[in-house]
Amino acid sequence: MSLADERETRRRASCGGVGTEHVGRLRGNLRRIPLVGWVCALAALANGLAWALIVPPFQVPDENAHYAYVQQVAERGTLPRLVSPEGALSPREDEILSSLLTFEIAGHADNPAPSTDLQQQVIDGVAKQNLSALGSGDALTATNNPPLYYALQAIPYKLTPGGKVLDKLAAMRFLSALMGALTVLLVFMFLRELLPGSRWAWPAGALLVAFQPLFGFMSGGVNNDDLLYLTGAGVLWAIARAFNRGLTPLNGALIGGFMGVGLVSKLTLLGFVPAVALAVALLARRARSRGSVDAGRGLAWAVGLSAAPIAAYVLLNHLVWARSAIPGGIGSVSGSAGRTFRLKEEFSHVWQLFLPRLWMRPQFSYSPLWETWFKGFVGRFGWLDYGFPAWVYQFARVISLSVLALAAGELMRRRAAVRRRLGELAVYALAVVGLWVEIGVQSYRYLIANGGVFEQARYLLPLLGLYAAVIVLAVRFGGRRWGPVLGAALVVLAVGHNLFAQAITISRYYA
Amino acid sequence: MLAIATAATVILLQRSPRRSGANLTSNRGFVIPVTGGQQLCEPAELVPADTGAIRLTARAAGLPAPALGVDIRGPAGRIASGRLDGGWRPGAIGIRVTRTASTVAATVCVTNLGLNQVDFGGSTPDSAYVIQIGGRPFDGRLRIEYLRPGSESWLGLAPTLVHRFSLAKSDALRHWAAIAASVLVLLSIALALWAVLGVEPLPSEERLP
Repeated sequence: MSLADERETRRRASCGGVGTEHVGRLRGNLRRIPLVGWVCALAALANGLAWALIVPPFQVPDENAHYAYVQQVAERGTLPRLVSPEGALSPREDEILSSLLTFEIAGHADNPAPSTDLQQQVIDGVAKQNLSALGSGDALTATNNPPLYYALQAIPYKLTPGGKVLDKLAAMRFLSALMGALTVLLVFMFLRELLPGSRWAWPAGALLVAFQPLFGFMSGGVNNDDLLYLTGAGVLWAIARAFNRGLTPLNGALIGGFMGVGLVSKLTLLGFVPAVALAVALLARRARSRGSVDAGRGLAWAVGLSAAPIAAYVLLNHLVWARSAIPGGIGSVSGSAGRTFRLKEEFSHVWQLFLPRLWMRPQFSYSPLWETWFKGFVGRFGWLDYGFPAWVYQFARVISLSVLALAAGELMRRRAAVRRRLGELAVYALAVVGLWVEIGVQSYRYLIANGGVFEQARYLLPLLGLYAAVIVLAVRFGGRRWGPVLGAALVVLAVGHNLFAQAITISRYYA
Repeated sequence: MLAIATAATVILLQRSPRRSGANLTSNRGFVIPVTGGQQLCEPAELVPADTGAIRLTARAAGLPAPALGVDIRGPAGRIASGRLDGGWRPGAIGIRVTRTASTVAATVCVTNLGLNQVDFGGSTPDSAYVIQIGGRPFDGRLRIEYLRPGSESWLGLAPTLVHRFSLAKSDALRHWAAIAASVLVLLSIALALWAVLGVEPLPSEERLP
């Protein structure tokens, strides 16, 4: 595109917002994604589908609840609502869960999946009963979630012929795997915008995400986290793109679009709001100092598209679905089990969930950084009931510290570039902190209300793009001579890690 | 990749006793006492085909640990039986039994053939089950794991794993799920290698951020 063409395109865009020219440019950009990006996404798709086949039905956390939500949307065309005391699922789902011995297996690492033909006959018998697919309207832990993921999953649910729960679940798992593949593609595109000079290192970053076992495991199951990961990666890509190319209406729309879609997928993405606000503010200021005419419209698109879906969700909850505006609430909670809500304690809890305790009163009897986040990220699967042998986590610690040291070395080496991009780095740091705070607040409030542990490593996976960026930085430290070797070594390690995870999964459920 | 392949081969060839099933009862410690001469009978057990031993957890109240007898009875009479000599160590114990040919609903009886009390691992109270100890009802259930005869490598167990993989899944998938999963795993690795080993030539120069 010539400079004159580009000016004309920008002029039209400034008149018409996200016009057809911009969509055309976006299509052109998509066509320009290197083939290797699509190959990484395909690898993720194959891996996610493999996980979908390996993990027995309903052995992904809360899969029964997420299935119930989709069933409610698909069968009744409405959203679930809390039924007190906890309402029953549909007889069709309840009976199949029972015949699969779901809750004798979930949480009990010693108990294998059904392994005899007699048990299969029981499952077949339930499927033949043609039980009702209508339940009380309660979808257990998924009830309060926003509806977008479930609305999308209602498509494979409806398209699957017959009424068999296991057939529908399999089709829904395949859609989740597709979301996993798109997540990896967005991570690749994020790396492309973030570190444009590291073309040879992008595949290493994207593939380490594709073969991250916890991500693969989640991509093979029905859980609204899958759309959260996709939109989290999309927001990071859109932000990096805007820092690279300016806050055009298209880039503003991408930021707002991914943010808006993410918020109505899972409210965890609220943790990204401060980072997005900072990004848009910095980009708008930069554009103004350069006299850009597009930035105002970019800003409007970013804000509008971020806010519109969640606003519509709140209104529909209130006016149509007879749910509270934000089901589950985001305010303070009433305590139980002898606990009362205290703001100071909440701060301490959030801090200690991710950082060293310092002078504070202990909130945990263990180290969440190691037990919850690190070991969870390296791999804890099923309903958190099995994982790797202890040496794997120690080995992973050595590898992780080495990778972090290499990445830090690369940042030091490129400190001039880092200084130039401090604002952008602050945005990514704020995304991390924002997500931490969001998870921490939920963790504390869950503890107060229920006396249980809320946090799981999978909640950090919206940050997969930043994980990939650390990998690319580490690989770049090796330079053009050793970098590709280092990248290949890390990819092989990731492939081995993922294979090991699949092997322990097969051993846990089938051996 | 060679290292991964070597490690996988070593693991696949390791021989060990393998499970034919389990009764899915939680093991909450040594909570089921059986005194010398008493028999514990646990009804409503699903004893899988190809069972050649049962694994329990047990500890004896005094030394030496007594001999234990096992009797597995179906609707048509005895299906399998076995014996473990005294002197075993506390923890998981394996008791060989005659091989079962098919999966069958049965009552599993364990007899303490010595004088010292033996405490078995299981769950109590267990509202869904009542077992018999010395002819009296006992609110609890023994944790039983069923083992295939002898020791097998993972590779030797592969046909069984493929069969188990075909159970409790979507009808549309279950008969080819194992093959499909294997193909997908290999495909994902091949794609990763393709991406790393140069699906596209490296650019002649690079821009730094």
